[in-house]
Order: sequence, then structure tokens, then C-alpha cells
Amino acid sequence: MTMNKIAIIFISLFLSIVGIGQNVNFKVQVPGAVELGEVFNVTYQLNNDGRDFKGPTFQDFDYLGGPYLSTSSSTQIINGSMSQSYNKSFTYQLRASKIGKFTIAAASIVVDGKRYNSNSAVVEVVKGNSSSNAAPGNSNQNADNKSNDANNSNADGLIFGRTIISKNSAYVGEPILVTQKIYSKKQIANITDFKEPSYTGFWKEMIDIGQLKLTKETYNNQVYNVVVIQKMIIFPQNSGTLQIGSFNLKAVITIVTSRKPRDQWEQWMYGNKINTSQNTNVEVNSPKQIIKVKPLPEKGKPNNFNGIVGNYTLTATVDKNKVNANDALNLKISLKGSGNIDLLDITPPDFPSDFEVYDPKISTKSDNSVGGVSGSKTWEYLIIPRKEGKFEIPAISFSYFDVNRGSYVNLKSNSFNIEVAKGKAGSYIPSEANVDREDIKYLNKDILYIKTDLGEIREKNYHFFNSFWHIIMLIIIPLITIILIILNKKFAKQRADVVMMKTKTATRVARKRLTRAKKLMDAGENSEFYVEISKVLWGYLSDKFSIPLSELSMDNLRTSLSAYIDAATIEEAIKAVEHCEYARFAPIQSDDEVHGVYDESLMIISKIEKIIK
Amino acid sequence: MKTTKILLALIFISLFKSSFGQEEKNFASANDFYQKKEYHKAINIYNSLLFNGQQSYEIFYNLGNCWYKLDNYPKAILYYEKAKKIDNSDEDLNYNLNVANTKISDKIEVIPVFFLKKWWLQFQNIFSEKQWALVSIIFWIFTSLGAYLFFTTRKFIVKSISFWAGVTMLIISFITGFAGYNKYKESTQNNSAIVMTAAVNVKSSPEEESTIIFVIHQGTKVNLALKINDWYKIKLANGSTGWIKEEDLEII
Repeated sequence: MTMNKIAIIFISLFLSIVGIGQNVNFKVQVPGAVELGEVFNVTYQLNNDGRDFKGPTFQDFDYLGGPYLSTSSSTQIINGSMSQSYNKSFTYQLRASKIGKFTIAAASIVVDGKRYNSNSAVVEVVKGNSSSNAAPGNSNQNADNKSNDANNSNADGLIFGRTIISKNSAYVGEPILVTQKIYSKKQIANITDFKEPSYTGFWKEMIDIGQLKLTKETYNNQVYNVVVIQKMIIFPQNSGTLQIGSFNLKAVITIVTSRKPRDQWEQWMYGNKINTSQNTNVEVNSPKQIIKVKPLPEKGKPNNFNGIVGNYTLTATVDKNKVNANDALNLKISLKGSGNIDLLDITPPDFPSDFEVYDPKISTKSDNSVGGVSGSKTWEYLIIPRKEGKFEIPAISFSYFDVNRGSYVNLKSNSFNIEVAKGKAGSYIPSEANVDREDIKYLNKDILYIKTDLGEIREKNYHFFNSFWHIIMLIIIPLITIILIILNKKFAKQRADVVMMKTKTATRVARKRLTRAKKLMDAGENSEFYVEISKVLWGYLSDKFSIPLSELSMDNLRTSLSAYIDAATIEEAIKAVEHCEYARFAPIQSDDEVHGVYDESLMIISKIEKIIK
Repeated sequence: MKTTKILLALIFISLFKSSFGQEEKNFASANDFYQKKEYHKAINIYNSLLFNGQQSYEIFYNLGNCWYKLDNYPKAILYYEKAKKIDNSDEDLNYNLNVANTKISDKIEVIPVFFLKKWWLQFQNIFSEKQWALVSIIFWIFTSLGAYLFFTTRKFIVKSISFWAGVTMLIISFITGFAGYNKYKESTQNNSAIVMTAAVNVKSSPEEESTIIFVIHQGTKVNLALKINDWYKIKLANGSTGWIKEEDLEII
């Protein structure tokens, strides 16, 4: 266990050393520009251990010394991972002896048995203004390092600032490179209190320049020590004459003054010339810059234009054209080009509403280089189609103003036809929130069984309602009713007529029979008389009250008549009938009795006659 | 004359009956296929029973079940709705239709109707069109009976009772007749359809280029208001309207 660990550590150590050997970097470092007569260093630098260094010959320069070897190595262990760096450098000291551009040739070295060549470099030698030939290496004597509060009039010529713009006129939104530099003939020791200029009406994007670096540059045919303070790309936001204000900073410059040695001692110590350097604080104000900003032409302005200027290409891709419902789909829209990448925006396409579209993942890659801002912006949409079918993601369009062409460009991607197949069953269960309470009752229930008895099969447009039979029934029923009523009325009338006749004739018939009965009574034929008188009474009651003879009896006489005449009269009538019936079957009767029956019958008939007319 | 007509009717009925027997056999065999889960075969037989646009409540119902079992919910809903058009008093049908409706994606909220109207609609759905017609005829007969009694009786009590009873029967007969009439109107107008295409863009006007108002999905029931060329103006249960192509619909 522990042995293994140790082994791993050794192996990794070995590997890391091998790793150094694999990556050889051998290059030359020179200053960009030097003054005539200036002493400068040329350094060949190797990031590895090497041997057998072969340097070039410097024909165009005065060779002063070298190569001076210096090595450095460092080992870092961060979180258990070890990195090692090793540097070896060979430095030559040269003096510029001629004006012009000269090449420093490549050197070569052997690393791990293999020979590597360095690159070559170009040094420009310009005519110097100052007569100072002193090498910077041995001139810094800061013995009397007095700090002088700036005497501006004195410093003005020594140091100045510039705002350099790549163009003086631009369209709205067109990128402009702005560089702020300070120039000095003297050594610039420190820069403080940098106050940015005002960029009213601009959108700016800084370019990372890293640490401030002192470089040499020719300006108006003179070599200056130059420090680039800031670099940025600005985009005018509105048209008109816009101004970049002046920047302001405080710089410390080192003024080297030389004097003759005061005495022998000094001459012995420092040589013929004694350089003293003095640090001076100076304030630098750069001049303002004016940029004329042209508005974008109205002519041919696309509808979807939203102020993007530059040069772009639009690509849109989907990862698949056929997808199952509920499976994810990716739409990638990307704009690539130069211009204000951060400001880029697209109008998202109108996705079909059955697509669940998530917020796009936006990734921006921009490179703020001197050439302007270039890069790409990518929108990645995650789409989940929820329904099957054929859908179209419409084309995405994007328009910008092309400064080089001076016209608008409208880019259009192709549209995508997406075929969504049916997803797996049950893979999408509607959430309960989507279902109302009524639905929950039926959720995940199965249907009821089919019908097993066939009812009627009817013709396409068959309806009972409003059909022939329906209407017929509706008409026939009241017709039948009316007919029935009419028939009933007719029959009732006929019957009523018969009854009427009977009642009307009742008295007459009774009178006729009475006269016949009287004849029989007079003739002394008593039994026939009673038969007759009984017929008279029954017949009369039957006819008069429209009660059939068969329905009349002694028992129901009272109830039958009660509807028509009063109780007393009924009693009398019953008495008369009883007398009559009684007398009929009595053996011997006197004439008086016979007469009595006759009179009683006559009386009751006339009495009823009086009541019912 | 009258006797010949009756004879003809009898002959017709007997012919009809004999062919009906064959249909019952086929119906039973289709049901067997359904039982054996051979839904496609069952569907073929059911469809063969209905030619020239003939209609049958039970066949529509069973076709709806077959399509449901085949996971074709729009078709299932279409056939249930067709069955419902013939008779919507069957609880089984409403149950199945509700189950099928949970399977489709559009949940359209129905605009609440005035409660009296709701009651009336519920009342109306108790019977089918034919049943309502028959009920109204029965009450029509009662009305006639009342009228007959009223006109024939001599007794005052009978007269007054028969009068009021007759008037009541007349009113009931009219109400039931009206319900039947509504049902009849409902079933004769082809004013609703089922969306058959998976997803349909509903346009603002009957043109391909017009803007999309909303999207509806298969299985959704729409009411048809107008037709221009092959475009239908549709109205959803929630009140929104738009235009849709004929090919995306199947009329109930």
C-alpha cells in the first residue's frame, strides 16, 4: 500500500520532468525601437535546460558583450499538483550604430539531444534627439532623489498625453478603437490618479492590456518612452458630433541630469560624467477628440433592425428533425462576426405553442482586440415538443448595418420542419393542476363495456320528431276526440229527446189510463182496476223521472226520487203505491176503498205534476 | 285502398325484420371480436353494418369503445358524440365520453350558463328526441281525454276537474314537445365537429396567411358557425372563435 503510493509519487515526479522536456520554448526578446547610439539588450530565453548555445553574429550593431548566462528555476505545488519551471537566458549587449531596420538573427541550442532554433526579431534604429549615450544600466544613481512638485511649464515639453482614435467619422454603432497613451522623452517612473475622459454618447468596451508597460515608439520621427494607459472600443450611440474628453493623470518622470565631477575623488568613483536623477511629478492633460457620427440611413432600414452595426453571419441548427413527443430538441442560433457582440440580440422565433421552450442558454465569446470586437454569441434553446404532429420552427431573421458596404444586411436562417412522433404512452401525465375536479373523477378509469343488444338501425336523417307518424298522431288524436265528443253529443241529444217525450206524455198517458181505470171501477171489475191503477202509478213515475220501469222497485223508489221531489211528496207517492199494491191482493173491498185508491192516485199524480212542470 | 297500404307496410316490415336478423348476427360477431381484443376487425364489421350513412346508437357506442381501446381518442370521441346525438340520455355513454375526454390535451373551460338554462338542458337530456316526442303524444292524449270529459259530462265537479286537468296536460304536452323539438333541432343541424389533426392552428380569417390566434388539438369538440370555401368558422366551448380548415375536422 505505502509502497504503491511511493511508486506513484516517483512516477509522477518523473513524468513531470519529462513534461518539461517536451515543451521547449526558445525565443528572442528585443526592444522595438532604439535611438542611434543607444545601448540595448538582446536576450534569448529558453524555458528548459539546454546546452551548446550558438549565438548569432551582430554585424549591424556594435557588439559590447555577452552572452551572459542566467538561469532560474521554480517549483510550485498547488493542491498536490506540482509544476516546475526552468528558465535559461543568454543576454547580449549591443549598441545601435546605424539608422534603419535590422534583423537580429536566430540562435540555436540543444535540449535533450535535439537542436532548437529561436525566432528572429527586428529592431528599428531611429535618429536620436538627446545626446545621452549613457547606458541605462549604470546611470541610475538615486543619491539625491528629490521629489519636486511639478513645475508644469517645465514638464510640458517632457510629457504629453494623446487619445488616438481609429477613425474620425463613423456611423452610429460602428466600433472605434480608442487608445490612450502618454509620451515622454524621459523615463516614466510611475502613473497615478488616472481620470478617465468622458465618453458621452458612447458605449465602451475595454480591451485588456494587462499591466502597464513601458515601450518605445516613434512619433513625429522621434523616439519616446510610451505607456499605453487604456485601450478600448467605443460604439457611438447617437448621431452628431461627439466628443471624447481629455484624460488626466499624474505621472512621475525621472529627469537625469549630468554634471562634471566636482573633484578627483568623484571622478575616480563615477567617471567623467555624473548622472543624477530627479523624480518630478507632472500632470498630464490630453487634448480632446472629436468624432463625427453619421446617423444610419433611413432608407432600406429593415423592420427588425435594432441598431446593430458590424458584420455578422447567422447560423441556426437543430440537432434533430424527427423527435418523439416529450423528448428534448435543441435549437442553436449563433451570430458570429465583428461588432458589438454584447449588444447582440435576436428576436426568438415564434415557436409552435405545443413546444415547451425553455429560456435560452446564451453564451458570448468576444475578443476585444485592436481590430475591433469580434466573436460570437450563441443562443441555445431547449425545446420539448409535447404533442405529435408536424411543426415548423420559422426562420430566424437578423439584420445589421454593414459599415463597409454602407447598407443594411438582412440575414435569414432556414426554417426547420420538425416531425414529432407520438411519445411513449403515459410519459406525459397532466399535472393535477390542469385537470378540473370533474375530470379527476374520470382520470385513469377505463371505459364501460360495449352494448350487446343492437337496437334499431335508422336511416341517415331519420327522426321520429317531425316525422310522418309524429304529425299524424298529433293531428289524429284531437280529431278522434272531436269526433267522439260530437257523437256523444248527438247520442245524448237523442236520448234526451226520448226522455222529454216520455215526461211530456206521462200526464197524458196517466190521464188516459185513469179514465180506463175509472171505467173499470165503475164496471165493478175491481181486480182489473187495480192492475190498471198500478200501471198508471208505476208508468207515470217511470216516465216522469226518466227511470226505466225495470229499475224501479219499492226499495229504491225513495232514493231514485229524492233528486227531484221533496221527501213528503215521496212518502205520499209511496203510500199511494203501497195502497194500490195492498188493495190489489185484498179479497173483498168496498166501493169506498176502491174510490179511495183511485182518488189517492189521482191526487198524487196531480201533486207531482204541480211540482214538476 | 286502405287495406293495400296496410299490406304493403306489413310486407316492408317483414323484409326489414329478415335483414335485421342478419345484422344482429354480424353485430354479435363484432362484439366477439371486441371481446377478443381484435378491435380492427370489430370496427370493420361495425362499419359494414352502417352503409349509406345509416345510424345506430349501439354501433356508434361500440365503435367509440373500439377506437378508445386502440388509443385513438379523437375517433373515440367522434363516435361517442355521434351516439350522443342520437340519444344522450344514456349514463354509460356520458361516462365513457368523459373518460375519453381526459385523454385529450385541450381542457376547455365551459362558459357557465345561467342556472335556469342549465336546469332546462339537464331536463332536456333526460330523454331522447323520440322519447320526448312520445311523451308529448301521451300527454296530448290526456289533453284530449280531458277535453272529451269536459264536453260530455253534465256534472259540474267532473267538468271543472277535467277542464283544469286538460289545461295542465296541454301545457305538459307542449313543454315535452318543445324539449323534443330542441333535441330534434340539435340532431339535425351538423353544427359540431371533432378536431382530427394532432395540432391545428386556428387562424383569424379564412386564409392561409392570416395570423394564428390559438392552437387546438385532436379530440377537441368545436361548434361550426360558418363555412367559406373549405374553411369553417369554429367556436369553442369557452367562447373563442377562429377559422380552421375542413380537412382538420370531422363533422359529428
